[in-house]
Amino acid sequence: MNKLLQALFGEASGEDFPSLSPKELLILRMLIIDAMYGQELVDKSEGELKRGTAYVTLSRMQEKGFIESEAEPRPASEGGLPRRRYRITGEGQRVLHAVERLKAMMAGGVLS
Amino acid sequence: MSHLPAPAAQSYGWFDFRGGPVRAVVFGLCGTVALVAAGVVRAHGGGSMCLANLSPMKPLLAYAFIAFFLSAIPALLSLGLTARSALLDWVCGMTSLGGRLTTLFRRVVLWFAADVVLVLLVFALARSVVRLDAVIGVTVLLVAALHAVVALVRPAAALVGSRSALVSPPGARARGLFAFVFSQKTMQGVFEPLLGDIQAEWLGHVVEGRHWHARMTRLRGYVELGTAIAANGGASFVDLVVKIYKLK
Repeated sequence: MNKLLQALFGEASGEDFPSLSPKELLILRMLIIDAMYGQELVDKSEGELKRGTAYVTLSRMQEKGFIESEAEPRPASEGGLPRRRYRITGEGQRVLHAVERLKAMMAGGVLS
Repeated sequence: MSHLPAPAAQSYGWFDFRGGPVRAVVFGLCGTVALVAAGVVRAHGGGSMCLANLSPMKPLLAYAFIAFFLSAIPALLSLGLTARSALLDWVCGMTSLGGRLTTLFRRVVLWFAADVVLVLLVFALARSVVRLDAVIGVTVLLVAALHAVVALVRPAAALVGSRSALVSPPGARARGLFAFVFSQKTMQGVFEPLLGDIQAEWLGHVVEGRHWHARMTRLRGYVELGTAIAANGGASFVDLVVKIYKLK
């Protein structure tokens, strides 16, 4: 399975498939739709992501190059610390597409 | 939404002690109950347990001292809580300890002086007409009520009634400590967005008057911060050791 995933991912570049946890996959699936704030990701995950650990996961994903973020100051009427808006990178899209293709192949019985 | 208090800039006026009016009244009641109990013991022949016998001073002076001490308990408690905040702020580099202690000293002198005047006034008016134990009980209650009224009427000016514990956004002090312990990358990537979300949720509850929700958000926020620290702790602990090693 890993070899197939590696093949799907690295068929163009020959790179190793990076490690991807279920939470990271969930975040990538949400971010492929649109850029989001951390709180939005937690809210839309329906309990799968906890706020305490979500930002640690997001930070790790940034280090892997799956996502990028930029700080956005809050409106002057709110004040407080800036929020970060996360968006998926090209690398993140490639990883997600490789995983989705693998899932589709499995669902279609290609790998049975 | 109103302005969120700046987390890194703690400002202290003359009277921003921590605590609450309920606490002042509870301590006043406890003092009164203790004195009444002592009076009952004395009335039933427990002379050796009489409060006045515990002191070599004259009974009246001993009672005055005890009344003052009991009435000052809320103030002492507030002083302790405020001193703890001052120390934390100083550790986090948010305020100068010298200036903070000077302000504390001024407040304590002012409020304790007010207590003394009130105690002496009630004694002077009532000691000749009613039982001494009752006078002391009333005195303690009056002082506690004074603190409670000030706390309710003007929270920012109260010795024991400031609601600054609620006004201070969650993590405002912890942020300075985190900045020392964790790397800048971790601060920007993990703790500042997390604190920002917690503070925004907390502020929403405060603005809409849902104080219990705000408290719950604060508590949940501390748990989430603890989770984030645990999840992020290993690498940052190494960073801290390196930082301390470089400081040496």
